[in-house]
Amino acid sequence: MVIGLHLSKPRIVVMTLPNSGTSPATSATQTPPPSLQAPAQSWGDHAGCILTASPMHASKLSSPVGLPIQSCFPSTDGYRSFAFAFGFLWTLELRTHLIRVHRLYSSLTMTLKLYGNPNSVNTKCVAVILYLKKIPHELITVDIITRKDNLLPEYLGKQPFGEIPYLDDDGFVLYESKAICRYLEERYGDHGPALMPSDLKAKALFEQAVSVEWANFEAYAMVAGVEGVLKPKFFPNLPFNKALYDQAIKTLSMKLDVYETILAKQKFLAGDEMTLADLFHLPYGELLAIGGNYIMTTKGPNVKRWWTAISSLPSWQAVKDKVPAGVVDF
Amino acid sequence: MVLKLYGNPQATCTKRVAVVLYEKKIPFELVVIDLSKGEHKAPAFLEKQPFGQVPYIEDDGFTLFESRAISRYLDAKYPNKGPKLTPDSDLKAKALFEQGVSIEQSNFDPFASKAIMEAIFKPMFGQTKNDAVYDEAIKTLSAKLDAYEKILAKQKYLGGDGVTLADLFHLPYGSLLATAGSDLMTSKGPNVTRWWKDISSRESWAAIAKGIPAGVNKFD
Repeated sequence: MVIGLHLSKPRIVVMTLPNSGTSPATSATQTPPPSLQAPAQSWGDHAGCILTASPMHASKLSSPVGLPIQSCFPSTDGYRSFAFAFGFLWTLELRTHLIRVHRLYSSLTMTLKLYGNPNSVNTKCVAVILYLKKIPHELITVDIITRKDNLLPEYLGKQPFGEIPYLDDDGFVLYESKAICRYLEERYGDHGPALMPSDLKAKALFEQAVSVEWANFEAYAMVAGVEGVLKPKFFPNLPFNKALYDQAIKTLSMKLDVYETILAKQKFLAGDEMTLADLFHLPYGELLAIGGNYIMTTKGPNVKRWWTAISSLPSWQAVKDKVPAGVVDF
Repeated sequence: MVLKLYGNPQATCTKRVAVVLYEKKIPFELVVIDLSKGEHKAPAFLEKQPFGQVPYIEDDGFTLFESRAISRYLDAKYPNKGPKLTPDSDLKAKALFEQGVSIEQSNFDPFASKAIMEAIFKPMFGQTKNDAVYDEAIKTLSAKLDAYEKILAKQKYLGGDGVTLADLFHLPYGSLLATAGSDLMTSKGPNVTRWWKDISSRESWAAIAKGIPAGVNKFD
């Protein structure tokens, strides 16, 4: 039996030698009896065959290949059953061990590491791009609530503001979620849909949309999201500032009136193609509904159409509640 | 046809675009929008800028708003005029530039603009400064500038070793902090001070800091 590890794909391959009813040593010296020439039917059989030679022929082997256990069994059948069971369990055990080794190997060899948190809005911002473009990566969890890993000196050495997430791409460190998204789009341009135009005017309108998201959406959605969802969830002893929440929602509503007119003329915020500018709305937009505000689907038919289109993307669904931690290979 | 900048000579975001026009010596006409008369909320204005904010540009029929988007467009359209203010070839240099731009937007602008709103703009419109809001904004900004101090110890500018839009974007609000009553930009630490003095003493900023000349701005 030969056990190989396919390194290009996360798969364990177990290959077995055919017709291993006898040890190689015997075939050169004598012809095995017909009853042992039938091919083994299962992996357990193979394992059993290699672990122990047939008790009937053990004494005839020029080199011992197995445990001298044949004397413990009253019959050949009982012995074979034991060998089968033992071999089966041994293969299962081996398989579990190999999966563990493979995971460790993947983690050691995975060059794109995102340091963030499964619950963090800005980690989700990067994650949706990783999933949309199917970029293999590892999410390493940074605990910002209890352990406060982000305030440790080694973390601040990478991200001086103590914020999450940051990216380590084979030693190249980058932070600010929107900068990371742009980098991934540039680096993996041929993976999945194009999310940034290159033509001068189309690019300018894209940058306009990105700026609109920040200045006219996130500025207010973030306040409402923090006040209405994140504070109660992670810092329940802090008071809820209703005036601040209400003002943020009121201003956001006025801004979305403008979105309604823009999206009447074009499918997405930068034009008729979906871009990063649209996707950047997802994390805080989602928080609004969690906080009990359904403005994204009640403002008007155009905002609703656009919001439904981006929020129903499978890559957003995969990360919106909790970004899967660990190694992710597509 | 000369590029038209619709904005206000004293408005922060109009100045953000103007400093780039001056850096690259791109001729333009400042069409003055009187904010006190509400001209930015008039239907004709809203046709071009639906959020009712200044500035926007008209470049041979192409309309664009959001000062940072306009700045990027100008640098991309005129790569060989004046300094290159955005790296465009090397993937990593580009990424670090974008990191710098994002730092300005999320770690500087929200707090600097909030402090200036309280200390300068509200009194200008007859409203009272909220000291608690001002103090909180300055306190947060100060903590953010501690991180700037570390970054600028290792590199000359915020986006790398050359000056880029990531630095220039700080000028409008950064310059008003002293007027608002905070000397953070020159007292935080040696690196922030060095960097701030460098960018705020550029000719382009000196030309418009007190107000952008209305009408046609030519460069000979």
